[in-house]
Amino acid sequence: MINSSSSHKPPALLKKEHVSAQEQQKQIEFQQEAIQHINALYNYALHLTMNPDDAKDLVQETYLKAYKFFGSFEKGTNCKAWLFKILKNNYINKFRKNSREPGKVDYDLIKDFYHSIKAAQSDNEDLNAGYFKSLMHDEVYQALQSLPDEFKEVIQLCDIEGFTYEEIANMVESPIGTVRSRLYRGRKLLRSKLNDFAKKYGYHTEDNE
Amino acid sequence: MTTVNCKEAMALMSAAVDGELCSREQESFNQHIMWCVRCAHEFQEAKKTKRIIREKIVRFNAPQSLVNSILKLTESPS
Repeated sequence: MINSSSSHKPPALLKKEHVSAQEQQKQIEFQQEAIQHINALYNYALHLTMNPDDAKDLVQETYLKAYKFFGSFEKGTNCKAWLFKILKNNYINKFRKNSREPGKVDYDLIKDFYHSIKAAQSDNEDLNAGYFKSLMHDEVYQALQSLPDEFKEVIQLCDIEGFTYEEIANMVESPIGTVRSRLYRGRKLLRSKLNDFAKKYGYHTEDNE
Repeated sequence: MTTVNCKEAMALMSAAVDGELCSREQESFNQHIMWCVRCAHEFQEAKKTKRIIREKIVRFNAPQSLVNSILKLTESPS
Protein backbone atom coordinates (compact mmCIF):
# COMPACT_ATOMS: atom_id res chain seq x y z
CA MET A 1 0.00 0.00 0.00
CA ILE A 2 1.52 3.27 -1.03
CA ASN A 3 0.69 6.02 1.38
CA SER A 4 0.64 9.67 0.42
CA SER A 5 4.11 10.49 1.85
CA SER A 6 5.84 7.98 -0.36
CA SER A 7 4.99 9.94 -3.47
CA HIS A 8 7.69 12.45 -2.46
CA LYS A 9 10.42 9.81 -2.41
CA PRO A 10 12.68 9.26 -5.43
CA PRO A 11 11.62 6.29 -7.58
CA ALA A 12 14.70 4.24 -6.73
CA LEU A 13 13.86 4.16 -3.06
CA LEU A 14 10.30 3.28 -3.86
CA LYS A 15 11.54 0.28 -5.83
CA LYS A 16 13.79 -0.88 -3.02
CA GLU A 17 10.99 -0.79 -0.51
CA HIS A 18 9.06 -3.20 -2.66
CA VAL A 19 11.68 -5.93 -2.90
CA SER A 20 9.74 -8.87 -1.68
CA ALA A 21 10.78 -10.82 1.37
CA GLN A 22 11.22 -13.81 -0.89
CA GLU A 23 13.61 -11.89 -3.10
CA GLN A 24 15.56 -10.69 -0.09
CA GLN A 25 15.81 -14.24 1.16
CA LYS A 26 17.10 -15.32 -2.21
CA GLN A 27 19.72 -12.57 -2.17
CA ILE A 28 20.92 -13.57 1.28
CA GLU A 29 21.14 -17.24 0.40
CA PHE A 30 22.89 -16.51 -2.85
CA GLN A 31 25.45 -14.33 -1.13
CA GLN A 32 26.05 -17.02 1.46
CA GLU A 33 26.38 -19.89 -0.97
CA ALA A 34 27.64 -18.57 -4.27
CA ILE A 35 29.77 -15.47 -3.78
CA GLN A 36 32.53 -17.31 -1.93
CA HIS A 37 33.48 -19.16 -5.09
CA ILE A 38 34.28 -16.09 -7.12
CA ASN A 39 38.06 -16.57 -6.97
CA ALA A 40 37.83 -20.18 -8.03
CA LEU A 41 35.50 -19.25 -10.87
CA TYR A 42 37.74 -16.44 -12.00
CA ASN A 43 40.73 -18.79 -12.01
CA TYR A 44 38.86 -21.33 -14.04
CA ALA A 45 37.67 -18.68 -16.48
CA LEU A 46 41.23 -17.44 -16.82
CA HIS A 47 42.46 -20.93 -17.62
CA LEU A 48 39.77 -21.34 -20.23
CA THR A 49 40.03 -17.98 -21.93
CA MET A 50 43.66 -17.06 -21.18
CA ASN A 51 42.46 -13.46 -21.21
CA PRO A 52 41.58 -11.47 -18.07
CA ASP A 53 38.90 -9.36 -19.74
CA ASP A 54 37.13 -12.37 -21.22
CA ALA A 55 37.48 -14.11 -17.88
CA LYS A 56 35.80 -11.21 -16.09
CA ASP A 57 32.93 -11.17 -18.59
CA LEU A 58 32.52 -14.89 -18.29
CA VAL A 59 32.36 -14.81 -14.50
CA GLN A 60 29.91 -11.94 -14.58
CA GLU A 61 27.59 -13.76 -16.97
CA THR A 62 27.89 -16.90 -14.90
CA TYR A 63 26.76 -15.16 -11.75
CA LEU A 64 23.92 -13.43 -13.58
CA LYS A 65 22.67 -16.76 -14.85
CA ALA A 66 23.27 -18.47 -11.54
CA TYR A 67 21.26 -15.82 -9.72
CA LYS A 68 18.44 -16.09 -12.22
CA PHE A 69 18.26 -19.85 -11.89
CA PHE A 70 19.16 -20.05 -8.23
CA GLY A 71 15.74 -21.51 -7.54
CA SER A 72 16.73 -24.62 -9.44
CA PHE A 73 19.86 -25.15 -7.38
CA GLU A 74 19.43 -27.93 -4.85
CA LYS A 75 20.44 -26.44 -1.51
CA GLY A 76 22.96 -28.59 0.27
CA THR A 77 24.54 -29.90 -2.92
CA ASN A 78 27.85 -28.60 -4.20
CA CYS A 79 27.25 -25.01 -5.26
CA LYS A 80 30.76 -24.65 -6.57
CA ALA A 81 30.29 -27.56 -8.96
CA TRP A 82 26.99 -26.07 -10.10
CA LEU A 83 28.59 -22.70 -10.78
CA PHE A 84 31.51 -24.29 -12.63
CA LYS A 85 29.13 -26.11 -14.90
CA ILE A 86 27.27 -22.91 -15.73
CA LEU A 87 30.55 -21.19 -16.46
CA LYS A 88 31.74 -24.01 -18.68
CA ASN A 89 28.49 -23.93 -20.66
CA ASN A 90 28.73 -20.16 -21.01
CA TYR A 91 32.26 -20.54 -22.25
CA ILE A 92 31.30 -23.11 -24.85
CA ASN A 93 28.32 -21.08 -26.05
CA LYS A 94 30.32 -17.91 -26.24
CA PHE A 95 33.63 -19.05 -27.62
CA ARG A 96 33.02 -22.34 -29.33
CA LYS A 97 29.53 -22.68 -30.72
CA ASN A 98 29.42 -19.25 -32.26
CA SER A 99 33.03 -19.69 -33.35
CA ARG A 100 33.70 -16.29 -31.90
CA GLU A 101 37.39 -15.83 -31.40
CA PRO A 102 38.26 -15.38 -27.76
CA GLY A 103 40.21 -12.26 -26.94
CA LYS A 104 43.85 -12.42 -27.85
CA VAL A 105 45.78 -14.53 -25.41
CA ASP A 106 47.60 -12.02 -23.30
CA TYR A 107 50.61 -13.81 -21.89
CA ASP A 108 52.26 -10.61 -20.72
CA LEU A 109 49.24 -9.56 -18.76
CA ILE A 110 49.01 -12.98 -17.17
CA LYS A 111 52.67 -12.83 -16.29
CA ASP A 112 52.10 -9.48 -14.58
CA PHE A 113 49.22 -10.91 -12.62
CA TYR A 114 51.39 -13.82 -11.64
CA HIS A 115 54.18 -11.62 -10.37
CA SER A 116 51.93 -9.39 -8.34
CA ILE A 117 50.04 -12.27 -6.82
CA LYS A 118 53.19 -14.27 -6.22
CA ALA A 119 54.68 -11.38 -4.30
CA ALA A 120 51.68 -11.37 -2.00
CA GLN A 121 51.70 -15.10 -1.43
CA SER A 122 53.96 -16.82 1.04
CA ASP A 123 56.22 -19.44 -0.39
CA ASN A 124 55.29 -22.98 0.39
CA GLU A 125 58.84 -24.28 0.40
CA ASP A 126 58.83 -27.03 2.96
CA LEU A 127 59.64 -29.46 0.18
CA ASN A 128 62.88 -31.12 -0.80
CA ALA A 129 65.48 -29.01 -2.46
CA GLY A 130 66.64 -29.57 -5.99
CA TYR A 131 64.43 -30.29 -8.94
CA PHE A 132 61.21 -30.05 -7.04
CA LYS A 133 62.03 -26.71 -5.55
CA SER A 134 63.40 -25.41 -8.81
CA LEU A 135 60.11 -25.87 -10.56
CA MET A 136 58.51 -22.52 -10.92
CA HIS A 137 54.89 -21.75 -11.48
CA ASP A 138 55.66 -20.69 -15.04
CA GLU A 139 57.05 -24.05 -16.05
CA VAL A 140 54.30 -26.05 -14.45
CA TYR A 141 51.70 -23.67 -15.81
CA GLN A 142 53.12 -23.88 -19.32
CA ALA A 143 53.33 -27.64 -19.13
CA LEU A 144 49.74 -27.80 -17.98
CA GLN A 145 48.53 -25.40 -20.66
CA SER A 146 50.27 -27.43 -23.34
CA LEU A 147 48.23 -30.53 -22.56
CA PRO A 148 45.29 -31.49 -24.73
CA ASP A 149 42.11 -29.83 -23.48
CA GLU A 150 40.46 -32.93 -22.10
CA PHE A 151 43.52 -33.72 -19.94
CA LYS A 152 44.05 -30.15 -18.86
CA GLU A 153 40.46 -29.82 -17.78
CA VAL A 154 40.27 -32.84 -15.50
CA ILE A 155 43.61 -31.98 -13.91
CA GLN A 156 42.38 -28.48 -13.21
CA LEU A 157 39.11 -29.68 -11.77
CA CYS A 158 40.68 -32.46 -9.70
CA ASP A 159 44.07 -31.22 -8.57
CA ILE A 160 43.50 -27.49 -8.48
CA GLU A 161 39.81 -27.21 -7.61
CA GLY A 162 39.41 -30.41 -5.62
CA PHE A 163 36.20 -31.73 -7.13
CA THR A 164 35.31 -35.39 -6.72
CA TYR A 165 35.36 -37.74 -9.68
CA GLU A 166 31.62 -37.84 -9.62
CA GLU A 167 31.39 -34.08 -9.82
CA ILE A 168 33.99 -33.94 -12.56
CA ALA A 169 32.19 -36.65 -14.53
CA ASN A 170 29.05 -34.58 -14.34
CA MET A 171 30.81 -31.40 -15.39
CA VAL A 172 32.61 -32.90 -18.37
CA GLU A 173 29.63 -35.11 -19.20
CA SER A 174 31.60 -38.33 -19.36
CA PRO A 175 31.61 -41.54 -17.32
CA ILE A 176 33.83 -41.80 -14.26
CA GLY A 177 36.00 -44.36 -16.07
CA THR A 178 36.84 -41.68 -18.60
CA VAL A 179 37.74 -39.26 -15.83
CA ARG A 180 40.07 -41.87 -14.33
CA SER A 181 41.69 -42.53 -17.66
CA ARG A 182 42.15 -38.87 -18.54
CA LEU A 183 43.70 -38.11 -15.18
CA TYR A 184 46.06 -41.04 -15.52
CA ARG A 185 47.16 -40.09 -19.01
CA GLY A 186 47.14 -36.37 -18.34
CA ARG A 187 49.38 -36.65 -15.29
CA LYS A 188 51.69 -38.99 -17.15
CA LEU A 189 52.02 -36.56 -20.02
CA LEU A 190 52.53 -33.66 -17.64
CA ARG A 191 55.24 -35.59 -15.85
CA SER A 192 57.16 -36.19 -19.06
CA LYS A 193 56.98 -32.49 -19.89
CA LEU A 194 58.22 -31.55 -16.44
CA ASN A 195 61.03 -34.08 -16.78
CA ASP A 196 62.04 -32.29 -19.94
CA PHE A 197 62.40 -29.10 -17.94
CA ALA A 198 64.41 -30.92 -15.31
CA LYS A 199 66.77 -32.34 -17.90
CA LYS A 200 67.16 -28.90 -19.39
CA TYR A 201 68.39 -27.58 -16.06
CA GLY A 202 70.50 -30.63 -15.37
CA TYR A 203 68.51 -31.95 -12.45
CA HIS A 204 68.06 -35.60 -11.65
CA THR A 205 64.49 -36.70 -11.63
CA GLU A 206 65.03 -39.89 -9.67
CA ASP A 207 63.34 -40.57 -6.33
CA ASN A 208 63.90 -38.40 -3.30
CA GLU A 209 63.63 -35.24 -5.32
CA MET B 1 40.46 -61.35 -3.59
CA THR B 2 40.87 -60.39 -7.21
CA THR B 3 44.45 -59.82 -8.23
CA VAL B 4 44.98 -57.31 -10.98
CA ASN B 5 47.55 -57.08 -13.71
CA CYS B 6 49.50 -53.96 -14.66
CA LYS B 7 46.97 -52.82 -17.22
CA GLU B 8 44.19 -52.97 -14.63
CA ALA B 9 46.38 -51.32 -12.00
CA MET B 10 47.05 -48.43 -14.34
CA ALA B 11 43.32 -48.02 -14.87
CA LEU B 12 42.94 -47.72 -11.10
CA MET B 13 45.98 -45.57 -10.50
CA SER B 14 44.58 -42.08 -10.74
CA ALA B 15 41.70 -42.99 -8.45
CA ALA B 16 44.24 -44.49 -6.04
CA VAL B 17 46.09 -41.17 -6.02
CA ASP B 18 42.89 -39.27 -5.29
CA GLY B 19 41.34 -41.67 -2.80
CA GLU B 20 38.52 -42.47 -5.17
CA LEU B 21 38.74 -46.26 -5.10
CA CYS B 22 36.13 -48.41 -3.45
CA SER B 23 37.54 -50.74 -0.80
CA ARG B 24 37.67 -53.74 -3.12
CA GLU B 25 39.55 -51.80 -5.78
CA GLN B 26 41.84 -50.38 -3.11
CA GLU B 27 42.74 -53.85 -1.89
CA SER B 28 43.44 -55.11 -5.39
CA PHE B 29 45.56 -52.10 -6.17
CA ASN B 30 47.54 -52.32 -2.94
CA GLN B 31 48.16 -56.02 -3.59
CA HIS B 32 49.48 -55.27 -7.04
CA ILE B 33 51.94 -52.54 -6.08
CA MET B 34 53.26 -54.71 -3.29
CA TRP B 35 54.93 -56.96 -5.82
CA CYS B 36 55.06 -54.84 -8.97
CA VAL B 37 58.00 -52.45 -8.81
CA ARG B 38 57.13 -50.63 -12.00
CA CYS B 39 53.57 -49.79 -10.96
CA ALA B 40 54.66 -48.92 -7.43
CA HIS B 41 57.16 -46.48 -8.87
CA GLU B 42 54.63 -45.00 -11.27
CA PHE B 43 52.21 -44.58 -8.38
CA GLN B 44 54.79 -42.53 -6.48
CA GLU B 45 55.44 -40.44 -9.56
CA ALA B 46 51.74 -39.81 -10.07
CA LYS B 47 51.37 -38.66 -6.47
CA LYS B 48 54.35 -36.38 -6.89
CA THR B 49 52.86 -34.88 -10.04
CA LYS B 50 49.67 -34.06 -8.19
CA ARG B 51 51.67 -32.41 -5.41
CA ILE B 52 53.58 -30.35 -7.93
CA ILE B 53 50.40 -29.04 -9.51
CA ARG B 54 48.83 -28.24 -6.19
CA GLU B 55 51.86 -26.46 -4.82
CA LYS B 56 53.25 -24.69 -7.83
CA ILE B 57 50.25 -23.43 -9.71
CA VAL B 58 49.48 -19.91 -8.60
CA ARG B 59 45.85 -19.03 -8.14
CA PHE B 60 44.72 -15.60 -9.12
CA ASN B 61 42.25 -13.63 -7.08
CA ALA B 62 39.31 -12.10 -8.85
CA PRO B 63 39.90 -8.37 -9.36
CA GLN B 64 38.11 -6.22 -6.82
CA SER B 65 36.10 -4.52 -9.55
CA LEU B 66 34.65 -7.88 -10.53
CA VAL B 67 33.82 -8.75 -6.94
CA ASN B 68 32.09 -5.41 -6.48
CA SER B 69 30.01 -5.67 -9.61
CA ILE B 70 28.85 -9.15 -8.72
CA LEU B 71 27.94 -8.12 -5.20
CA LYS B 72 25.93 -5.30 -6.72
CA LEU B 73 23.92 -7.53 -8.97
CA THR B 74 22.69 -9.55 -6.04
CA GLU B 75 21.92 -6.52 -3.93
CA SER B 76 19.66 -4.63 -6.26
CA PRO B 77 16.22 -5.87 -7.15
CA SER B 78 16.28 -8.00 -10.29
